[in-house]
Amino acid sequence: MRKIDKTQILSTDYKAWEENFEKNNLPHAKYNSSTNEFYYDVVMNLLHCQDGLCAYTEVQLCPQDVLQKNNWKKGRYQNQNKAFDGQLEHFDEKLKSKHKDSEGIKDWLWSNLFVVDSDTNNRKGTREVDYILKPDNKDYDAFKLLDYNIETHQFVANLSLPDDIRQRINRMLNDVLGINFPNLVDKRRNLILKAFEFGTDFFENEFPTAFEFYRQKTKR
Amino acid sequence: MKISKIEIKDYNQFKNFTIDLTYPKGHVKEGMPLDKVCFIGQSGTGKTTLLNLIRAIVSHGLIEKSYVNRKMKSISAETHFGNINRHIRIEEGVVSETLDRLVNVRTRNVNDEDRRKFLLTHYSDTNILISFPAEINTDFNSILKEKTSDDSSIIFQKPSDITPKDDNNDENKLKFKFFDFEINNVKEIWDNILKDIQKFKVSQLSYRNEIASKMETGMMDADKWIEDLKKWKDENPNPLKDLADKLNLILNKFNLEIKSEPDFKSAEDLKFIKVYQLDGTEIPNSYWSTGTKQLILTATPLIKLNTDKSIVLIDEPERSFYPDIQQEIIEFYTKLAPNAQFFIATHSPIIASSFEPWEIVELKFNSTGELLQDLYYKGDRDIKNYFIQPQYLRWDSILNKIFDLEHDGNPARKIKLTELSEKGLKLKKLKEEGTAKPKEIKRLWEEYKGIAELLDWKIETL
Repeated sequence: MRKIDKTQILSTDYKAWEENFEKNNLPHAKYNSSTNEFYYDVVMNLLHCQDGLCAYTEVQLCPQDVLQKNNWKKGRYQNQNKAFDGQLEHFDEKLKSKHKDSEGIKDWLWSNLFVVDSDTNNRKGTREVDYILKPDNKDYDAFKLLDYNIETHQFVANLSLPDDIRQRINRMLNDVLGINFPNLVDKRRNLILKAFEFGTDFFENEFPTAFEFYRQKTKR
Repeated sequence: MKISKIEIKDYNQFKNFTIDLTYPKGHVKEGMPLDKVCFIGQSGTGKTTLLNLIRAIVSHGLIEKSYVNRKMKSISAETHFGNINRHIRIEEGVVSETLDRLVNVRTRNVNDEDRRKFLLTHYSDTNILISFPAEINTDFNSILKEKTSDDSSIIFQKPSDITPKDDNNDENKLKFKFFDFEINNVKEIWDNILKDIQKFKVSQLSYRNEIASKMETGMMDADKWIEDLKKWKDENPNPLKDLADKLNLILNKFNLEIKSEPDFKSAEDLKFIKVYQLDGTEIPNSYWSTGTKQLILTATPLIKLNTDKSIVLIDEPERSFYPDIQQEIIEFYTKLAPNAQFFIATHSPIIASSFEPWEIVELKFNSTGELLQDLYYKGDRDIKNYFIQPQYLRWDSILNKIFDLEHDGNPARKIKLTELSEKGLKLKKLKEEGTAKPKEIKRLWEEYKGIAELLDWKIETL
């Protein structure tokens, strides 16, 4: 899971709408799946910031061409092709109005939203999150917080961190964000091993963090 | 009859839900109704509801009124009888239908009487529905109870007495085309299924008595008896043989068999099917294992009844079966009824692996609580676009990819895998730094190897 820079706002109409809620301390409009008028503005802007990859697992969710800036006009996403393989996800479910222990009606809060792979989102459900692994944190650095075992293809907490921090990170990796989900590990391993056999240019840009760890560890 | 599409506007958890039950583009049977369908999904997603809905559709509102209820709003189904398409609709519990005869391109509404006649004509020698509930084994006690209380009457019946009475009433005739093991009278249903075997057994018993009497009085010698027996066997083909040949394919794996000749050693022979160990020891009905009951109670109707054009529903066929039997049970059932359309609801990855991806209807709630069918293809419904093929997957992959199981083993495995990954990284670091003592590296390596063995992890590189 790499760092995500969410400062590039292309869906400015949505952002103005969201900021109005925030500035005036108003409850957000209720999140109701894809029916909100700004749904695709949010999704496509997030995917633009995420390079078309799942924010957590780094699997590809959409082609690059639908994320080019020329798809936005007058602050709205205009491309008719809005197909993507994922779901809009609320990092902290407690900021959603419908959560049973809701801590705020902030359903459309930009900083709490990511686009993620559907299975990952469904598995994550309403599990409690630890902000230590939030990919748009200012000080988030995958290479300081994580390590990657090139045999098991599992991400683990960096061994140099204190035990309690490592436990928190490992819980997020394994139980919340689904980064070590068995099928994902298989996919990651297969892609990395084949990419280094045939040449990395030949493959899609999935799993950039695992690739980088692999490169560093194998000095390739 | 085969069902090619079901549309549910509103029924229980189903809202605006459509299932395409045809073979996809590129398949040799493209556009034709699926021969078998597997419903999977978490408890509460509606697998059994779908099976019940199919019973309602198939009943055409003419048989067993309890199949249809007022909660069934705006449900429609496309069904096919050869070149005739029937569009069946259920509106708040009322069933209606229109009928297209493709040859004449004629569409018309049909009344109850017409529909009854249509079904009786098209199912004159076959059956409409055979439905097995998950709790099929509870039938067994009812059968034995009924049969035990009826012992004397069965033994003294003449063959002609056990032939079901002809009933000229169309409604009753139609009722006998329905074999629903959940709601029907179990004794009646099994008498009907086993009537030819029962008739054969009673005939053979009568014949034996007659011969014994003739031999006793010197009216027949041994040579004449052999000749007479051959003639009797030619005139009275043994229906037990076919049943035994088919059931024994699985029963033999339980070290059991059904004999194709009744031995009349006990009154049990006239009660129900008799099961023996392969060494010849009889297993009394009350000692049958749950797997034996499950097999006999489900396979026997498929063997004995004409299933041409039938719809067969099986809820949780995996019950009481060991994994090796689960692996082959669907092929076994479908071979017994090759012209039927099967609808099966399961929680078993092994059962699911018997299906092609377009035959699986996986029900799932999305994050907003809406019920969806999880699709295994992207883009057009074309065999080229399917990315999941259960028949090619390992069992654990089926559990992860289809049944969405988060772990590839007990959750404890996940913790141990993290431990293995951390130990591996530590070991590599120590090796690279070159400062650790060989004794320390050896200790860590032994620990690593121990965990890898526990996880059945194949060590490749370090």
